[in-house]
Amino acid sequence: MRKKLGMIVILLLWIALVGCSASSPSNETKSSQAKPSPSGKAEPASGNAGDMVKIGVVLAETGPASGLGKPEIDAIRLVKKKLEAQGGMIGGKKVEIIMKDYETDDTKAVLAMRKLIADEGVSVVYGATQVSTSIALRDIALKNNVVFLSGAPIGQLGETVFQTGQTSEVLIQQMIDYLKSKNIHTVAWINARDAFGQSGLPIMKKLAEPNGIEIVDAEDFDASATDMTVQLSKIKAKNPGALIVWSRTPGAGVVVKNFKQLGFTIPMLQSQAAANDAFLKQVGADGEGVLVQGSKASVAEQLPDSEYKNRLIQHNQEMMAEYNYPGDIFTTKATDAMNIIFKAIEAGNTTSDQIRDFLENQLHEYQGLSGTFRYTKENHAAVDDNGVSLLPIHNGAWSYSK
Amino acid sequence: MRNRKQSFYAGRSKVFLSIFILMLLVLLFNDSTNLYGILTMIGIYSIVTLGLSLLMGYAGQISLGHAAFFGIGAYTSGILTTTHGVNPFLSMICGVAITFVIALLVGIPALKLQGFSLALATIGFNQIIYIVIISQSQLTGGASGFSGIPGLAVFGLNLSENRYYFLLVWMIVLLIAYVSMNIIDSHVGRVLRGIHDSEIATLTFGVNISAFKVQIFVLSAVYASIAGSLYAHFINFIAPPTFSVVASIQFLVMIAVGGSQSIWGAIIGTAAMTFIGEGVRTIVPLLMEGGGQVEVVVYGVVLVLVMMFMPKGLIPSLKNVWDRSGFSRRSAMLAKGEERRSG
Repeated sequence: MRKKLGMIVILLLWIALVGCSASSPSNETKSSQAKPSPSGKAEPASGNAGDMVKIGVVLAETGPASGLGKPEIDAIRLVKKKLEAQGGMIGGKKVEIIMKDYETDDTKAVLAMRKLIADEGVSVVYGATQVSTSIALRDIALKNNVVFLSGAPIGQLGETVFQTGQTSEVLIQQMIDYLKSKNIHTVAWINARDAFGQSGLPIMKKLAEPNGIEIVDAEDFDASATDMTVQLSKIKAKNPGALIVWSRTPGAGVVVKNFKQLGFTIPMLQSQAAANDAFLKQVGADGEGVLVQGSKASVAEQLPDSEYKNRLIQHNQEMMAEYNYPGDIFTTKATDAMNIIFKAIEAGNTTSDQIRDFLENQLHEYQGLSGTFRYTKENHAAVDDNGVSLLPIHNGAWSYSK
Repeated sequence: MRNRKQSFYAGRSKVFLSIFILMLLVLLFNDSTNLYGILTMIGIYSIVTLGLSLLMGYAGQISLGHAAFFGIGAYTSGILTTTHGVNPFLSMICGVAITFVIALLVGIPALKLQGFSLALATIGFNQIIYIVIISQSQLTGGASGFSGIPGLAVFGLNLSENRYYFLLVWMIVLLIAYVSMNIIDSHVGRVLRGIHDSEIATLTFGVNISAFKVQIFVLSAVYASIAGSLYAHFINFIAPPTFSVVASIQFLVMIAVGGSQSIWGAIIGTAAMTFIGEGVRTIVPLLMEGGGQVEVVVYGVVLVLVMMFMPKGLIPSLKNVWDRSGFSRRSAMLAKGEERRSG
């Protein structure tokens, strides 16, 4: 009886399998996750029926990466609020922003991305807070031919994938230029063993030699470690002229604490992943003199007068009014991403292909909050470093020195 | 025959049939990629929790390291198919083989421990695998993750279509549930329950308990490995955090909520926790900002409530309601009629 039942179940499953492969003949399974739609799969299930454009956002508002993801998602909420205040219309098109919190969990990010593309029919997606997640989303975007703007620096892009925010090459070059201006020729490197941390060193190695910089030591630490004394002691023995730290908070802050305890006197340069208020609070007085590659929004008041300065100040005021903290590298990046999409829509582009074409050929020199965008067909990551600068921490706040 | 089935919960055919009918309903009426995605993930996690339920609910051995076996399966499948172009199903079998060996090597010494020490040992093992995955970046892509894993195809049918993948995963879930039931109903199951209740008493019967413990540990590891392979081909991307100790703990939570003393508890618990998360994520944004934090809170509250009011999990409580409803007898008759018709 039990055996018979098993046989029956298996038999029925077979019937079901055959039945449903027959029931959806319109499925040319050329692409991976598409709803069987009568139109086949020439373009993703367009939510742009008529005059509707949907924008997807996948960020880590909660979980370990929330220190970076929360400012991003807050900035986008602000953009969304302003959009809705105008009736949600841009250039005669209804625009909808659909936000997903992936909770620093890659599985959730992938499912959210698939949902946005297949069920919602978005034309463009902005995400993700982390490097590894962005890589996962990049693949889905390429498979479905949807425009994806990556907020995190991922090395390889692709036909429909762009990067907002500077590439690590541009940012590390800025650090190297600073070292050269201070006549420093030896440097030590320390990074976290996570995707962002591991992405920096190969680029540093590539750029160091032609610039006459010698990397005397490279160390790494576990992303959740709470003490880096061992690594820093090794570095101290090598006597470098400066230390570069490539890690997000809280690891980045722990390095600062240990650095002070060991009595280092050399300059410390931190990556953009440490350019947030959480880092300032964490390091407190120990942070005095540490240079962090941050957004000029953090020091807007101290910049020389310009139209750009005024825009940053306005952004800061809006963020302050809404969330009680000013703009930073993450808020400016996310705001710019939304604004370039809006520009594309304003010019009458609603489908993925049209938006991609606009970004490649018609965006030209867009002056964003995070830098100047110069996308071309060949370069999907061309953002100048003029929106970021190495900001020394002074009296527990960001300062600006040019 | 009939009374042997009384050993745990009778009427297994009913459950099989109801799951099966649910599957058909979903296939007939659902057109949402997202729902297929969620159900597929429930299926994949269920395969892990089914193994854990054998190990914990029946043999009474705790493991906080099963996410590592899940990871071994996923990475073996990913690396073999993507880097070396091996057939996915062959890769899955390789993953099972590798898991088998590792589980044997870990299980033999670890299962000599009991209680907290065993929990700590399995956590340690999970952590070792996690560090290996991160540090062997040449092979695994390190912390950046491993991308570009192909989907599955059977007889020219592309299974990356969510609908088909859902079907494949749930067929495997039912198959594994069936195998597990047979284990429980055999004399092995009796031995396991003996170990669970009193190792010493079982030992005095002349049963080689350590061999049984290791065997069931290896079997549950193999389940986790199969689930890992299915995960890799479904998500097409794997990264270390998915296989950390935190994931192991989540598997335990699913079992605790469903009820570890029943095969169906594993599936019910997995489904309940996943749907609670999804529900919170769908509903909260409509009311206020910040779905993620609320989800963590709700998750915790549910766990506390279940532990307080249903210490054996959802299944026994659900079963009580079912038995009292008077509906159970009728449905048994229906199931019989069903059998006669299709037989």
